Amino acid sequence: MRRVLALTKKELRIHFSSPFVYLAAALFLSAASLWFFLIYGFLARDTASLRGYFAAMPLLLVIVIPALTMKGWAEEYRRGTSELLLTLPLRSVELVIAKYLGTMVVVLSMVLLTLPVVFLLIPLGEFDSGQIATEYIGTVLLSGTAVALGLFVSVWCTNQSTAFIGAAGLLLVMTLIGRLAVVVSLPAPITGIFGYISLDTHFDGFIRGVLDIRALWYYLWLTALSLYLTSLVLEARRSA
Amino acid sequence: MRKLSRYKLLYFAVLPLAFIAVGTLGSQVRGRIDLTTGQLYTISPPARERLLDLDEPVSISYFLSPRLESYSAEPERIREYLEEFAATSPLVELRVLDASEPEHRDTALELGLQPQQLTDNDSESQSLISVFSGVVVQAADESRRVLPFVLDSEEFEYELISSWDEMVAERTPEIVVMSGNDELELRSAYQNALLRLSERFTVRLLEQGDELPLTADMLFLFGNKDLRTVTVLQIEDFLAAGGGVMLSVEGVHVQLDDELSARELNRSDLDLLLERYGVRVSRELVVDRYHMLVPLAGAGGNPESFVSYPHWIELLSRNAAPGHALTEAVTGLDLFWPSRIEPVGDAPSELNLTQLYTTSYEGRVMDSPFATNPALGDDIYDRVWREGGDRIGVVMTLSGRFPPAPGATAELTTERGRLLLVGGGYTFSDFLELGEDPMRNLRFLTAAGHWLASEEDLLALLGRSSRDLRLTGIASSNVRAAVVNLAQWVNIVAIPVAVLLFGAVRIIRRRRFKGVDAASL
Repeated sequence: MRRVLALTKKELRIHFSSPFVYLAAALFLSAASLWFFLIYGFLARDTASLRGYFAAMPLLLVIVIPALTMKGWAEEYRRGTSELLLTLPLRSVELVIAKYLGTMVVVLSMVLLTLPVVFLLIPLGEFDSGQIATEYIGTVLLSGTAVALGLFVSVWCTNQSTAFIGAAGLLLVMTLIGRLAVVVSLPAPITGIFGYISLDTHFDGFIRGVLDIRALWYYLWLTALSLYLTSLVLEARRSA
Repeated sequence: MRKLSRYKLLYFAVLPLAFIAVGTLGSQVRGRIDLTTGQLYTISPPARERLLDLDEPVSISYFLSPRLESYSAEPERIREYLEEFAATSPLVELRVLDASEPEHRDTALELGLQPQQLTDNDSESQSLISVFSGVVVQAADESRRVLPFVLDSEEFEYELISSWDEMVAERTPEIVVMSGNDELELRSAYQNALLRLSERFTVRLLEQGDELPLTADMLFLFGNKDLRTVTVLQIEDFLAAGGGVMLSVEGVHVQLDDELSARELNRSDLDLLLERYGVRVSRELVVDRYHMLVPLAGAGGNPESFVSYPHWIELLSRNAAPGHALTEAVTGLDLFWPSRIEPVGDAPSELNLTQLYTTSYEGRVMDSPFATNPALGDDIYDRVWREGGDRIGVVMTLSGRFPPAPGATAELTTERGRLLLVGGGYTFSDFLELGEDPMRNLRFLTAAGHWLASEEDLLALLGRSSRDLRLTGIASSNVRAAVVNLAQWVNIVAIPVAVLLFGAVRIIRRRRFKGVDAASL
């Protein structure tokens, strides 16, 4: 565990030395508020709810998370530091977890910076604190899954642009697939499967204020699966 | 080497399969924690009570078109609610039926379910398709209630339990409705109110002077300008017998077809009756600094503008008596040209008076001559401005044992009646449907019916779906807009810029540090 934490600290140093991270964070915070106040029209809707703010999270994270994960493994391959990393006396799983934790600390910092939206708006009406809590829990879980998927894409790529495009594409498909049935007529079982795969569908309950065990399970399981598959790829590279 | 290969086979092939198996199994586990205030998406105590009181089987059929589920998450929520509902009692059998199948579609239509039209995006011709989302509740004795189309999960429980109660009681409370204003005929001026009431109650329209049916549970009287003595006597007897009465009353009448001219109403028998109960409807108009805007047609064909109109008062939760079952169930009420309703003298000791709604703390009263022309805008309020201000009562409830008419030969009753006095003669007319929330007064009317019929459970359920979510925490619209502007500025600009500056400073310092480090080497 100590080795994992040491590696996580190194990841954090790399993240916080990268201008991309600050740009991604500023873009995320600004775009979320821009959408909520100016496009969604919080004041005009006259409703004490942050549903609109959090409803934008799945699509915003499609852009922001790949910007954070694209450097994950691709940058190590490009700079040749992966050779060194893979020879460290650490298991592949430990390497993957360290990368994941490093990126998650950055994502959590970004999510924490959305709190001023809540604190500034609370005096305006009777906001539902339980609902806001689940909206944050959902955002953290969704981000966690998106980071794990982004790192999984990154482990296959040798340059950052490919990693970014690949992760953004995967997240976009996994976000929108649940809504495909709105535009295309599909058989009910296919609609059900697409709905189950979709990152967005499971997020809906959190926005309403409900912690659904199936949604919790889905995010945690998909995160674990992605991290595990990433470690498999790494293991394969190690033994190659 | 061979051992290692076997290990890798396990690592690469078996474990992913195990992962998928665990994932699939985990997705079958159902359960949820509802963290919303009042547990909005969880079966409520009144619903649970009804289920535990069941002694005969009840079947619930949910006819749902799968196509609808791809457009809205609401059917899934309704289905989840019904599943939880059915799981609470072994006597409830739930069937979710695919209404796209001809057999179920025909049954749905036979049972009275109403399909809605939906545009089929998949089709090149943008054709319309019919979709169902209706519920049929059927008791063992074949009596049934139908919810023709449901697509609002927040109101669903109220609708289901109301229908459930109707089915069990085999009747709905009966409301007799009369107009106390000869210029406003019920069928033409109160269409929406009557339609709304008939969704939950049996509504019977009567003229003044008609005999009240013995089956009536409530009496609703809209306006009092032309109220006759016989009607006042009926109200008195009805209340003394333990009935529920809703009166929308005014002390000053505003003539809609005479440039909104206003005049005080003469004292009538109704005033005498109300004074016996310890209440007075004053001959003043109430205005409030926190009021609504009305559309005003511009001169010379200019587009219409919106002007302040202090005679239009929006009563919200901040204006309401806290903890009252009726105010908890609604989001508020809009009043036009309200009159003050206030306690006067000594109320009979067996009557309980509650000031249900008041104006804001900056309410004022206007005496004759009355200024009602919308073109005056805020001047209307300024004309009656005086130092200090007060919360002025505009809606009141009375409950308890109402005294019988003096000298009445009827036996003294021990029944407890309920009277709701709303200070505005036009409050429930179709004319008032131009506010921000045109349904608000109609919802209040339904809630008033439940309160007068002592259906506190249904009021509580109605309250779950009628939370006031509007931005009413700050009364002044200017301060509210300023707070939102501040929030916008901070979150769209200030925080992102601060993040960028922090990053720039950190990166520059790091590079300098590296430079110094390299130079020292």
